[in-house]
Amino acid sequence: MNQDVFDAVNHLLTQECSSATIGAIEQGAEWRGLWETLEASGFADALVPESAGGAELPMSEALALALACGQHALPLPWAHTMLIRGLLSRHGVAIPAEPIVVASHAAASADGSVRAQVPWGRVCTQVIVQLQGQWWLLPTDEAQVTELGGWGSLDAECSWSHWPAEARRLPAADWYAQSANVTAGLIAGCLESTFEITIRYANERIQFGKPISKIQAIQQQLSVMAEHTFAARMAAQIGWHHPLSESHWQALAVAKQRTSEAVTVCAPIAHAVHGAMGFTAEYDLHWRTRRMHEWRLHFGSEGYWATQLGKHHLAAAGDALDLARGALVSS
Amino acid sequence: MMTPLDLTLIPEQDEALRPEVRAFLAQAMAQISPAQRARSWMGFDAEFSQAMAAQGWLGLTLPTQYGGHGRSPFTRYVIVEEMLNAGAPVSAHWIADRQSGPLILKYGTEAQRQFYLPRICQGEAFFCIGMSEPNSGSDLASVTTKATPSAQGWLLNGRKVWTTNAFRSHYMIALVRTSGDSTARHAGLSQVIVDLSLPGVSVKPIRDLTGDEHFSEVTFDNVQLGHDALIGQEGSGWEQVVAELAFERSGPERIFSSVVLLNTWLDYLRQDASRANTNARLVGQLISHLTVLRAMGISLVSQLNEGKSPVVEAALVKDLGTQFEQDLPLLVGAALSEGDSQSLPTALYETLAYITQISPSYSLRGGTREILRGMIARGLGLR
Repeated sequence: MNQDVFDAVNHLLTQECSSATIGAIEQGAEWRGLWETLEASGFADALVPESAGGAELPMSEALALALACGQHALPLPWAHTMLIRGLLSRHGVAIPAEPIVVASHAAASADGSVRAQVPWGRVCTQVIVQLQGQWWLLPTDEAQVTELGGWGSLDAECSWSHWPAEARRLPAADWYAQSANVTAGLIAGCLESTFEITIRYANERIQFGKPISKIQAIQQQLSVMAEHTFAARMAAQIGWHHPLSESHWQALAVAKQRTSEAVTVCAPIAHAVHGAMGFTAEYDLHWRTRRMHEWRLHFGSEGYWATQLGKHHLAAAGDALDLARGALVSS
Repeated sequence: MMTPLDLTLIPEQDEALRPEVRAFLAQAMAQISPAQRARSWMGFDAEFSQAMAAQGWLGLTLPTQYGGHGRSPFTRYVIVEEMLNAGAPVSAHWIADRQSGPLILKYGTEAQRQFYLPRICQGEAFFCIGMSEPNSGSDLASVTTKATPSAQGWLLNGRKVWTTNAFRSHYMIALVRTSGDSTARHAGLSQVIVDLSLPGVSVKPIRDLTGDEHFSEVTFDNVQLGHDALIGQEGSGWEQVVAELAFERSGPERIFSSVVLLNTWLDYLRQDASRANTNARLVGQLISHLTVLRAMGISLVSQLNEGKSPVVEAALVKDLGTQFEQDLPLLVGAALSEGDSQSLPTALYETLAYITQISPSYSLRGGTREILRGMIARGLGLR
């Protein structure tokens, strides 16, 4: 991870991404002002080659942006856009302005209409979809965008009544697995800040005449949360280890599998420690736990990626050590 | 707050050792059954240890002037990981190679180094660790075994228990009280090296619930030790033990203890496409966990290599790793009951049975789960 990038992004998001901002965007407020501020920082071009005007950071350093976005529960797909721009530029595709995300599922009808389930679909203007084995970039300005998911979710169903004139054909790439890996970085960061506010709360909340952090049952739970938060951070580093040009699906799969599973351990502990206060709309915990549960299901849950990995492992040769080394061996 | 662990890669020259180690293992392990391999680092075979020594694989990190090989902790990591993955019987030299050797190098006198280290590297001196006592388990600072100064050195009295391999080791490094009493806690503790062949030492193996004997009870009745039995500073035993535990807790043996079962199960699944299909998700989950745990362990090795002592981080990785080791037999057992219990190969059945029985020990040895979580909580500033 690049500490300078992390510090700069963290500083920016500390100023720009308050809980009030997250709440407003979730409830439908205009998000373009925030996006323009983020865009002005230039970090969305961090993975674009220097020859195309980007910073050409290695993936392992660009992870800093995803971690910071996750820590702040940024309600815009900035990290996704950074990665997609990196891939588009490598394929020689002109980079559109504004946020871009990959649809998790899309289907076309004979009449030319298209429906897609889009993580972040409420806060993007370009969607990458796969239809009949081909990849397309579709602008959402002519799409009908319908909220999808629980309260405050940023996911949407996007439907186009006719094939958009500006649709652009994209080269094949592992758009889905790469998006899963971006999400792994977001989860790893979000687990860290969730852990921090949980520790803070445990130190402040007095019951039985002492902070609840002094109670062994609480300490043991926080230790478990620390373990899985550390594991998730390592998993994200594995996913972001390989160069963008040498995509390594097994590493991406491990990253998404392990971080998603960590959500299932850590989010319940965070809520248990916070008690009823953490369950309110007012307190800061739910911005993170709600979002992490969404991210966990975006681009394949822990179960999906475990199955993909397992099929690969069982079809391949090699013992447990060989298989576990696979994600870090260059392809 | 603790700092996250950085992803670190094993250097190429160490990775390159794997084929040689695998070739050695293919030959040396040819006749050893899976259930025997499942003993993992509890499998004791002095000849195997000496064969490893002949390969130059013991004392890898110790300086060449003491018979070691002057290699990095990453070299040792690769060799050890391959041994564990194969279920090699590494127990005889295990403790000497992992912690007694490095301890003697760090705290020992020149004479102690010259005496013990070459023997460790040749697989001729096996060590055990005298920490627990009948009334001192998790509360280690309450030990009462006492070394009293005498004209010839130290007079040792007391009792150690749960000491792995004491009845087949040459030496014990014991944590004992050299001044004060148990109310003094961390002060007044020292480490002494005890030659287990001395008069007054009696060792009784204790059978465990798998039917094996590996741990023991050791009684010291007026055992006369020389002045040179003291290792390190008198009164510094506690801090020496804590530093030693960072080595004891950070290795791949806290992740790979039940891996022989996973390997045996993988072989079984691959024999049948529908069986493989049914279990793909669990296989993927286990290997994903193993991938991340390995990376965490290797990150600890790199910290040790830089001279750091990642005590809290090692506790964290050990707790997570032993959870994986213990979950494995339960999950594999649950998957097996889905219809193949009638036709299970004997080797797989016996391996599963043994690992299920032994697995509670994974989170007892080297510090219990609850103690480790307490250490993590302290590292988080909660205690």
